[in-house]
Amino acid sequence: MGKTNVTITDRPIQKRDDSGADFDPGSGAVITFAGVVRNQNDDRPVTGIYYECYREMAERELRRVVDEGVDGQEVDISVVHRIGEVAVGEISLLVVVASPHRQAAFDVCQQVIDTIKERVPIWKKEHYADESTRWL
Amino acid sequence: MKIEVLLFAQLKDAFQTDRRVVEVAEGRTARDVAAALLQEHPTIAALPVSLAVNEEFVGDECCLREGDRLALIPPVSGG
Repeated sequence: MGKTNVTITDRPIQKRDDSGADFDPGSGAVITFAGVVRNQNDDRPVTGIYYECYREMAERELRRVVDEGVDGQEVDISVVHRIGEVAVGEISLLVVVASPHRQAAFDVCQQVIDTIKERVPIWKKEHYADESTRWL
Repeated sequence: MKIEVLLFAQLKDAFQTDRRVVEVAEGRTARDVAAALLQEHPTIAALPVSLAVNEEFVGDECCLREGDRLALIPPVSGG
């Protein structure tokens, strides 16, 4: 336990297989959260999202967010954030947390996602069906 | 002294560039520089912008040094 992975990538994110083979055998709970680009927002049809990133700072800040979220708890965690153009139905954020028991895994997963949205320098611009765009 | 200002998202669109080198008088704070730049574009003048110097978040009163990279961070929306 205690392994962490933080990645920012412009490549499509695949959900990991569900065999559990690459987790610590002490893991009794594995939480997988996938943030996915949905096809509407505020009643407007969405065709995709462009993610922009302050790369040097975002990687450092994301690692801090993970370290603070783990805060000494017995978990393994992997966070992958995609940047660039992301189509509807594709994953923009994948968080996987493994822990001996479920509560710690749920808690760390929630905490990390909430904090990413608060302070990691990544921005999204929605593209709409009428070809307009908007920074969120 | 000269510093480099990094611009993102709405700010990059408004300035039509992702960075600008600006001449800054001694004693000017990070917030002074940010406020002056934001005033150039009415569409972003009221945007709540956080500040980072050399990839670390800083407070408004952060003093700048020659060669610093000041990033203007509009509200983030990752995830």
